[in-house]
Amino acid sequence: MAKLSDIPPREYNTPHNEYLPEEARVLSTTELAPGIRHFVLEFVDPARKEAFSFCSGQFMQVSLLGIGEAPISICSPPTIRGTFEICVREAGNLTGALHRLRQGDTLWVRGPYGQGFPLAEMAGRDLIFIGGGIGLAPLRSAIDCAVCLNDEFGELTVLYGARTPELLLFTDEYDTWRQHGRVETIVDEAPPGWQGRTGVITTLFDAVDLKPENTSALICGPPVMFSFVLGRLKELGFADADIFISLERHMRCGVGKCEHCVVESFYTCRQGPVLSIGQIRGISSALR
Amino acid sequence: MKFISSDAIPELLEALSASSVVWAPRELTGSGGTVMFERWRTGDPIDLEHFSSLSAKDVVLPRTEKLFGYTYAFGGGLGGAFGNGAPAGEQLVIEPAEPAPPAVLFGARACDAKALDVLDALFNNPEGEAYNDPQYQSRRKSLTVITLACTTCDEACFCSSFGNGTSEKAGSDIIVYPVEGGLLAEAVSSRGEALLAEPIFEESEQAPPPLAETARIEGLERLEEKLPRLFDDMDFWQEISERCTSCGFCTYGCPTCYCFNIHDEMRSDREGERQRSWDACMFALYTQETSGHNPRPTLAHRYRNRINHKFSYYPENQGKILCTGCGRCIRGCPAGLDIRDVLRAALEEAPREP
Repeated sequence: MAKLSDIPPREYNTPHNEYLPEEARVLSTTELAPGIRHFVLEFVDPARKEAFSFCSGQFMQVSLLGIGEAPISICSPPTIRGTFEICVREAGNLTGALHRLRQGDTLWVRGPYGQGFPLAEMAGRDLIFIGGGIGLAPLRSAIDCAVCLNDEFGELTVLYGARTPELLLFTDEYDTWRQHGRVETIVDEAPPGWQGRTGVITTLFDAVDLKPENTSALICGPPVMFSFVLGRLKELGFADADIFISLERHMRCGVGKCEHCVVESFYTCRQGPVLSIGQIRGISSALR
Repeated sequence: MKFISSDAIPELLEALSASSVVWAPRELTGSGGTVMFERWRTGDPIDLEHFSSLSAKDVVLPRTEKLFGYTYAFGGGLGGAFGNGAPAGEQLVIEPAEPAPPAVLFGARACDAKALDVLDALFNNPEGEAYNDPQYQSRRKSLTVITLACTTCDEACFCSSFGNGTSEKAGSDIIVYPVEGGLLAEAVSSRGEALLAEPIFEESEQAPPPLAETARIEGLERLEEKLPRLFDDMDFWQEISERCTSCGFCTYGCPTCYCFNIHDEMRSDREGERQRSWDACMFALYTQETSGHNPRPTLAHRYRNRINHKFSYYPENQGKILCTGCGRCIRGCPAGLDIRDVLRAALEEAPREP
């Protein structure tokens, strides 16, 4: 019987079991919001830990053996090496069990998979991040990457909406982000005494000045958000090729075989999850 | 051509099974005529007359297969993850699935064999391309396909709509033709040639019998372009899928349907396997996300995906139509749906008359 450490590290083009996960250790875990936990992870295998790299917007297949596996976006920037972070909302058996993991416990991961945000192609431009709910997680990877590579990008704008104030994620990082631009938040509903905004995310566009011709938009959130946000970006004059959206679909394999995540003829897991509006123009069911 | 007498076929299967797993069509005991591809063992009868209810795809894509196994080495096990604590990873040992043993598929039909060729485009893509499927590849590489040419067919068969119909050779290593007293055998691949060199096969001057001509729908290759134009016509998809009960037989019986689910099965509180199993895009929960959002919320959406996948998306991505005209989805549909009606209607680019 082989040990995981006997199995060569995953890379393309080698005849090995694509579905075999690798062990990762929980370095720390905190509750970000009710029902949402944040995990800092590292590969147990030192060579894998050293070699692991990814791009913002890519996802990992995260599993507990005996319970199941699910695709989860990486929420830390690729500029941090040696560890990576995920954000998990408790929604079922697997995510419930993940929530019970504590520091020092291990879980199993394979990846990274999919196409992330093409940050290299956005060099020199302003960036606007538009997130809804836990959709901030993959955006946070790109935001922190842009913050870290400060000179490479222009001004950063973050527009973020959540259902309630307590469900706003990564709130203690907004001040850092604000040093590089603006962060505006809004919630659907709030208890009395809430000083912030309530309403729909598109109202946040009124609070910021944008230079659409020199700005790339990065979006992740629930499908209901897409049409309103895209409509507004269009009004502002954003080109389809400058709007990038991270799609969510039910996935199983993550490698373009099992068919669960297909949107017409494309695989969300391979050609996505991040696609430009230019790429998905004409694919009428992509944003549903 | 070579010839093997009917009496020598068990001897051939016996010889093959010494070094290979042999799959052959057999009437299931007490099933009242249901023929399936089963693991052949000495003494098993085979049925070369009737068409099998399910295809032979299990040979390369088993209904359920192990991706890897795992064992929680000391105590705790899953109790941790389901209880208050969590499984400590150091306690786990992972065991990858074994490479496939050599196998022989005996008595596949041309539509079954061609389906392997169609599936190869996705699962057995050329060396050097990302995301091969090693378990499929391992099975496919070690598989010899001996195809039984069809001299008869039924009204559900429509393989003649696709290229060579009953004389299709793609996916086969040997074609055998039923003749008086036995089978004529013709090699298609070098692997087939090597097998036919065995002395159990005699030389023969006999000509192969005429093959069956099945129902033909002209112009199916045009669907790759036509179907996208029908995509948003939900009335069309609603109408054609109305009688469907989402039972999924059409996908399970299909030789080219390959979608799968990945799930963990515990054998005890310490040991388990991650497995993949056939899934069906006709099931309502197939695309449902954890949030409850479902991008294909109705039967019409799911039926549209099934037809488009076979005749538009797969051809676009892999260059091959994901259907070989075997007719199993027609024979097995409890609601009497006939995919050919849908294809004809789509080719006319207008919904059928009510």
